[in-house]
Amino acid sequence: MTKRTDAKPALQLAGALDLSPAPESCPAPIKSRYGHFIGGEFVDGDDHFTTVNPATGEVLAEVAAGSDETVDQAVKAARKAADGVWGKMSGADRGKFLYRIARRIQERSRELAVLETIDNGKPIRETRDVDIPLAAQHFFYYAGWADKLQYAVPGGNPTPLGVAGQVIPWNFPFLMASWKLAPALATGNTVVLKPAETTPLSAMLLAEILQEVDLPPGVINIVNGAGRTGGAVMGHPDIDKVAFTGSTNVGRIIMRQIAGSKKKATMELGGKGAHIVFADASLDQAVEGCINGIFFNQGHVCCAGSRLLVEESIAEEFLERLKRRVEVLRIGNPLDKNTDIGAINSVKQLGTINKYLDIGKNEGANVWQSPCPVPDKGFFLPPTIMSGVQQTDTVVREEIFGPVLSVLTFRTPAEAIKKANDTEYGLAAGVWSEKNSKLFEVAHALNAGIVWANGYNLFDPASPFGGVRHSGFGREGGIAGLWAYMGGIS
Amino acid sequence: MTSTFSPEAAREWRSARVDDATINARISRVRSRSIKTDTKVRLLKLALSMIDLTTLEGADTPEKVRALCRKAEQPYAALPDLPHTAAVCVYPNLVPVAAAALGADRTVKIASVATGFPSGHVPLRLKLAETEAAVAAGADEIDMVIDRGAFLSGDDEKVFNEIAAIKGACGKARLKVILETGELGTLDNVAAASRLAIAAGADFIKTSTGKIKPAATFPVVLVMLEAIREHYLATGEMIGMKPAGGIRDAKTALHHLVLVAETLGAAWMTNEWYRFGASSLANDLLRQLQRREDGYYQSPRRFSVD
Amino acid sequence: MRTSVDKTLKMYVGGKFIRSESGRTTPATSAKGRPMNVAAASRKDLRNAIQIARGAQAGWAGRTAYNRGQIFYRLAEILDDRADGLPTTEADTLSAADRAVHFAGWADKITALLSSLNPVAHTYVNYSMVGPMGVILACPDPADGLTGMVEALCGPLVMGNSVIVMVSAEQGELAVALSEALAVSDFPGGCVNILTGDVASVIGHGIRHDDLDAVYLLGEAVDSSLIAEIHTENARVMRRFIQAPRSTEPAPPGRLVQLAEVKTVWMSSAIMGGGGAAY
Repeated sequence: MTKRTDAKPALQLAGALDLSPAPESCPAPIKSRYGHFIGGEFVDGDDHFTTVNPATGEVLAEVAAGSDETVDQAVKAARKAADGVWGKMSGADRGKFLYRIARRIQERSRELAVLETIDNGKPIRETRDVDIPLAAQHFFYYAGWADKLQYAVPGGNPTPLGVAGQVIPWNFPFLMASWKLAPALATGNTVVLKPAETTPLSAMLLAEILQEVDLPPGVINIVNGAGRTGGAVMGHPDIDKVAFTGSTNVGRIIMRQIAGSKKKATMELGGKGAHIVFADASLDQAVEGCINGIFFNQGHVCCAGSRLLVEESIAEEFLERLKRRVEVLRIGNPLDKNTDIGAINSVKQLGTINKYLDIGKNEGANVWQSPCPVPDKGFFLPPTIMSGVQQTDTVVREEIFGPVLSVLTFRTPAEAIKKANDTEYGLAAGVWSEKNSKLFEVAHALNAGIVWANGYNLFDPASPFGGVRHSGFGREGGIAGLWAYMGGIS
Repeated sequence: MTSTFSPEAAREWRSARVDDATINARISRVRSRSIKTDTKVRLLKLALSMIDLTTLEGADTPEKVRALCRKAEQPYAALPDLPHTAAVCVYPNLVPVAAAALGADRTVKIASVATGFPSGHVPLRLKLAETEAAVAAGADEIDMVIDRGAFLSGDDEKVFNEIAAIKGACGKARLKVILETGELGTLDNVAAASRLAIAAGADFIKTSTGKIKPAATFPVVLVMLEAIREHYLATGEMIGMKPAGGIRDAKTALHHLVLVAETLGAAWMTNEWYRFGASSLANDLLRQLQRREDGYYQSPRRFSVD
Repeated sequence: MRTSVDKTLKMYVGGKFIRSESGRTTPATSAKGRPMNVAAASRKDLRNAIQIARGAQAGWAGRTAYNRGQIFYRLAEILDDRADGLPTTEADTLSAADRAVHFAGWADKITALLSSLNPVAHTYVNYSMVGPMGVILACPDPADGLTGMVEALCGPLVMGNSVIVMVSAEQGELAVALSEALAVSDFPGGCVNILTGDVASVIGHGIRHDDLDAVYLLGEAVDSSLIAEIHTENARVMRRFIQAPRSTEPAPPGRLVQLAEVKTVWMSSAIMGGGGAAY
């Protein structure tokens, strides 16, 4: 009764299951024009730019570009709140505001998810299951710290730093805002936040939530704009603390900008995460880890596992397994609940990724792309795997920030560690093995702020996140996440 | 051709490793698949056609088996175009009843449990005799249980040889090998037992008897599908999959179909290679299909209990 | 009257006493009023020291915490023993010895104090631990004497880093005295190094060297005009820069954590049927 074939057996995976469209239908109203949120009020801007839906290329709204004066107003409002109501409030009461915010985010989570997906291009599956719930969890986590700060550092007598300037990236707009806001507020600081110019909408919805919870005016101020506005926030003389997530290059500019000032800084920058798979790993789960590592959020993840290091003895077979799994990933309308890979966030980023693909080809890489159908409008790129590359290649050394995985091989654990650490970055890494001693040894030897052992791209507010070397400094999340926002501890 | 046990192969089976944390992550992605409109109707019908409509109670009666057969042939009179189920699944003593009810030119297959179901704690010669009797009475398919005690004690050879012997006793009947995953304790063991059963001659591997909980959980099914995939890619030989026990609602069944589609692909999306061992599932599938027709949900009471 | 034996003031790098490769020295006066020539560290001396410190770091961090604690304590023993003979006040030497004792006690505790087991909502064991950054260039406030030097080296060392302590020629004699104590304290060669010379110029070289992980300044170690330059150069390589007050008190845990990196490990921990697993 069994069926035998002479040809090399192949599974018919691509297209094995046609799924009817399943669009998320929760309404998420978008205004035609957005200004800023300063001193608890929405204020209009002067100059405007547009934000587009990367899945269609259509303009979603006009957004104000904050001037130096706008930034100054925001900093003044934040200073007033820091010196006044927020600075004087008990930790317990501050905590209750954070709890309120967490609950409101949960209540409006689907609307937030839809808005984020429309503005960013990431699949609703991720905004619904990861970005938004995790953001709420961050507020909930840090809410509980607000009245316990004296226990966060042994022997510390913590004080707020004052006003924090926070510039957040476009890859996790709402989540990164939450990562930065929650610890800043819990520790008694006030904030001027600048969302990324391609993804400002969810922060504006957050501002509505802040009004709903009666957060005192000026505690969180949001100024929209691009790099120039961000620079004005970071460079403002009355900012005590800067927190930045973004590229290493921009991080350098900010660090030079604030050089010699008394500003404290945390930088969460680029990465080129190594993902090590040993021959004794649970291979199908390691494949899943690679999928989560590089194709989560279209690879727009600073800690992405963009360098796969696989033990030579299983390399060929592993790559086959990986490709089989990639083939069933669905790319398309980010609002469709079955979409695994959404749109590249901007036409500019798509250009950057394509530039790297060309460099890879010129450097001799074998470029494989999933045969999955790709929408004909909007900014999309099928999942891509580059094999036949070496440590010296540009695509192995530089951060591509897209759904592009480079594959290298190794023979011994020592070689794996050496290759993994051979990078200017040090944000995150992953390792797969079913041998515990090896897992611990390698995990501890990897020069990175985060190591996932048998997993990848897992996040939790209780778990500190941040890198070493050119990936930046300071931690977000966990107890360590408080340290960056407290004075009087060192 | 009978299979021969090899200790080297057994070491290979036992070397299978599964990371539970990540397999759960994989499952949660499958379970978040949203199945709507046309796809839903198609998959509901497909699922219905894959059911081994089952009754395995001590209190089973000929009447109940005849009713089961009628329902298998025509699941719901109000929707006459629906597919029939793949098979009925009964105890050996009731195979003649089913054979009489379904007739010689039946489209619905007869599956019989055998080998001292559900515990398997009977001597091999009785298992063989039971299998031969069920086949002689008209069973098209035999659902055997493995000796979990032997497997857990490390006696792979005993488990293997029993499966191979039963396979020999099956003649033309297809052999489904029940691992009873709820008693195996770890996913590593599920992976090892799957490989063992396939090597010993299973035509299908099946999760559970339905008498032990947990039964056909998603992680277990995925591990078994991966064993089937490995075997196919190595040999070109297809092995069937039968999750059984605990699949009661349409949504769960449809997500199992997503799992098989994304793991094994289109060739397994047929009742020749995929079955659900279930009883109450059929009614929920019917209810969902009726809802597509009527535009409203029926009370479960509208459908016959068996 | 006896003719005294003058000491040649060398630097301490890789467990050896070396002259500057440049052959340069800076004139200074000893505690007893004798003229001295203090080795003047060159750019290349710093590069060599960084390379040696880098090579020694993993070995130092890899020792057991108990062993490292005993080495700090051994430093204290030696300083205490020499309290009346070092070119500083006896009080300073005793305070430096006490400081070494203080850090001896941290060696096998600070990781426990600053690390955490994080209760994540996943089937993973998640822990954060403080670990070394690598190679740190540390400069004490000259006014803090021997205590300042000991403070400057103990903080980085206790967190598992290797350290290069940079002091001015005026402190050259004291630096050599400390080096001689270090040399017999069982610190593995290269994990602690002492350079003498023009502090500002050596720091100026250091911040243009990519393989230096952090700059640690205590009190008024350098002129404030250098601070902006340090920041600017550090920006290129995202180097850590830790500014601390004078060494009157030992570094509290909140500062020690800045001399370390927080590393977080997620270790999958789920078995079929286990807590939280979907089985």
